Amino acid sequence: MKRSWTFGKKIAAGFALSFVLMAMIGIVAYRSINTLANTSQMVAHTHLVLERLADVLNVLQDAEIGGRGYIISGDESFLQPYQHSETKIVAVVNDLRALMADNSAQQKRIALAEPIIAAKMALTKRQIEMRKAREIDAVTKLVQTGEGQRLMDDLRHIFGEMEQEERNLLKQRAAEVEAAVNSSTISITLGTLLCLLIVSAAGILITRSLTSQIGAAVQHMQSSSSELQVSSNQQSMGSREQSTAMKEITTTMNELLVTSKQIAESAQRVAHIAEETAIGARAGEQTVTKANDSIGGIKRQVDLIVIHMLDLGKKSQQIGSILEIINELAEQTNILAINATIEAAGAGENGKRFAVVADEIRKLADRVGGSTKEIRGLIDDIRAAVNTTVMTTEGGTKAVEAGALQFSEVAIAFRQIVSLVGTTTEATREIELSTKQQSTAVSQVNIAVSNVAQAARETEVSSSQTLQTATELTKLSRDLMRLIQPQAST
Amino acid sequence: MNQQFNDSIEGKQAAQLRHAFDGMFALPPSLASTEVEDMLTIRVSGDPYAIRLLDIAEIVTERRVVSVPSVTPDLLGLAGIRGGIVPVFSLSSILGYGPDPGSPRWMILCGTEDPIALAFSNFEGYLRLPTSALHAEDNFLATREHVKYVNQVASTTDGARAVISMALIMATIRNRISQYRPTKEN
Repeated sequence: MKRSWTFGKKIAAGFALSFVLMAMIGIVAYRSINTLANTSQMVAHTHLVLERLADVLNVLQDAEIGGRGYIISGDESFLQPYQHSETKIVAVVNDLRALMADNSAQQKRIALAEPIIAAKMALTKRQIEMRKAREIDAVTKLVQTGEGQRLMDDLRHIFGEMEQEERNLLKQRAAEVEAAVNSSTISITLGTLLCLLIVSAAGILITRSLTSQIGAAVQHMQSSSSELQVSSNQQSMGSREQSTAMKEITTTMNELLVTSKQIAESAQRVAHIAEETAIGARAGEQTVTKANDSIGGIKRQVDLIVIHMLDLGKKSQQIGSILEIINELAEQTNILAINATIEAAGAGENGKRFAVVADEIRKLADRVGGSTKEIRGLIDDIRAAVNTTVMTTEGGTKAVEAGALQFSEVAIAFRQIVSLVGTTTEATREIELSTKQQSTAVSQVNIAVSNVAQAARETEVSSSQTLQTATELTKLSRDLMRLIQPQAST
Repeated sequence: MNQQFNDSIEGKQAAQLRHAFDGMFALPPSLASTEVEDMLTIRVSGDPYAIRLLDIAEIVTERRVVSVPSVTPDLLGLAGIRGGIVPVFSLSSILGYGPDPGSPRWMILCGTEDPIALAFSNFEGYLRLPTSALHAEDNFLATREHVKYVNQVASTTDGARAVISMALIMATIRNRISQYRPTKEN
């Protein structure tokens, strides 16, 4: 039996099997009874045919007895049976023919018997008429011919065959009845036994299947009930924790609501400050533009200074070249003075005054040399200063260019600041609006959280009820198991 | 303002120079020539030396020296001075310092007949000392090297200076030259 079948299917299949078997037994019984009834009917029919055969012979015998009594006595009262037979014989013969209509052999025999009957009835009628005419001798002679006796013997012979035929049919039908009875008895008995066996087997199978399946289902239900209990406990705990968490969330949401309001106020202040910043940034941009123009002027002046300083450096170099010549002249003068001194010393007394002059010239040359050294030092200082100044000025130029570039960047930065401040103002307004929307949303969330907290409480109650139901379900499944498998409960 | 200030300073300096120059001719000679000694101060390889002005005939500068093959390593070459061909010797080599790293710029001419020029690189200046400042300082000379041609030490404000004896150098060179000069008899 298929495991996937439902209980209803299995039970219906069991009942259907029983019904089919019982129907088969019923059909067999019905057919047997029907056969028996037909056979019985045919037996009755045969008995009726036999009775009609006897009736025909009796009617003929009554006609012969009545005729014979009248012939002998001349008493017409004896003609009453003859007359009765004369009126009855045709009906009886027709009735017999109708009864044997299904039997061709009997029909042939009745066909043979009918002229004999007619001849017998005609013979009897002629004897009576002869007796009525007082022709006693003729009647006696006619009787003595034995014609009447021969006709009767022929009829008895034919009717004897017909009776024998009917009796054979009767035996045959009796045998058929017995066979039908035996067959019905055997069929019903065996069918009943087979039905009992099959129904018992089906019952056992269904019981076993249902027991095993219901047992498994009940065990499964038991385990599910246990799991449901555990789940209900966990759900109950979870609901309590959820309820607690919802309370905390509600508190947090309230704080968030307050914070959102504060943020909205701060955003308003920021927007105001951003507008002021934008005004300040525009003023700063204008100032930077002016400063940039001033730096441009400074740069031009510095370029002029550099040009002048480079010119000064060239002039200093020219002075140095001239000074070199002067120095050489002083050196030559010094050498000349020294040589003059030597020469004056060689001249003796005459050269003394010349020696004085030469000495003074030498001193002068020394001083000139010293002065040229000082001037060289000064010129070197000047050139160094010029170089330093040029380098510094170039550095200043670069610094000014860098400053101008930075001022340009500052101006760009100010413009960006103005743009960004505008964006900031816009963003701040959006923040303010969003924060207000957030406050509204937080309020709605707060309500929703309260609803969720209420739902959590209800879930907690529901979980308790579920736990109780699960406990009852466990108990119920245990009872059911006990009902299905008593040994399992012990 | 500063320009005027600087102009006044420079004007004062020029006036002082002019006054000093003129004043020298107005005053009598301070010392007799016998009481002073005129010196040239030089440096050879960084060492301070002094040369008596009366020992030399002339000081010249930046003369072209033409190298000539010589057995004397001190001879730098020949130079044209005062219309004559003068052999030029390296003072540094003669004093024992070895050859100058570059071509010497200064030359002193010694002697009037067959003059010899001594070349050196560093000329410091002119110095007039009292005669008393010159003395033979054996201790000082004993502590220094390259004093083969030094016969005196001059005490100056900058310290002691070895006084090179041109006569010794001239005698040495002439003696060396005479060794290689062919004799008239030959």
